[in-house]
Amino acid sequence: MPRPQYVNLVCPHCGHKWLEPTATLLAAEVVVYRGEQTVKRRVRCPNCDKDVIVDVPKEWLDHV
Amino acid sequence: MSKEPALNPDLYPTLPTAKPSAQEDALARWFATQRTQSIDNLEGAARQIITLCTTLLTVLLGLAALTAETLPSYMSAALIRWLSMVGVLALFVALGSALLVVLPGATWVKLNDPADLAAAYDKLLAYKNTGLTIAVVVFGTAMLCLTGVILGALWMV
Repeated sequence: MPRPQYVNLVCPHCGHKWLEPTATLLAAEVVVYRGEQTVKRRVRCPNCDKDVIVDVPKEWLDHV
Repeated sequence: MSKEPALNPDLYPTLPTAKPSAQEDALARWFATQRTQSIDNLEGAARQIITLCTTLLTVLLGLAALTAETLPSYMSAALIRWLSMVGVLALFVALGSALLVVLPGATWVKLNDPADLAAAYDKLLAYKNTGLTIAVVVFGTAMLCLTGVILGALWMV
């Protein structure tokens, strides 16, 4: 799957849906262990301001 | 300032999301506090190095028996003399570097400027980190020298 410019996220706390820029999601450095297909990223829901864990496909990291 | 056009969510994929686990939350909180506690931790480590350096200097100088009337037989070996000299020098250098880490100094910051605060903090952190790294590496060298002196002394006694 090619890396899109934005991704849809749904807050598991309040159900709020928003579009997050993929570049922002992948901005920080990350260590990916061999065999893992996704990496976890922490973002903040713009509605309830609580932290949300997002599973990002590993292949998107190659495009950063 | 240009206004961003409204985005159509249907054009973009939806990624799975989850609530952070208790462990993930605890780790995030711990690392967030480390960000501001780093300087305290570095200074704590430097104080530990200072204590160890002064203790090991006492041990090394005791082994070298510099104040004794006659030097111990093992001090006639050139290798042990060299190791003692390098060890004492390294301990003093490590002590000096560690003291620089805890040396009080004035830092001028604008309290209402977050960028200035962050820059001043990063500068302090880099300075203390460099000092402590030098102290630890040189202290490690001194430990090796001291080990050599002790082993040599035991061998020759």
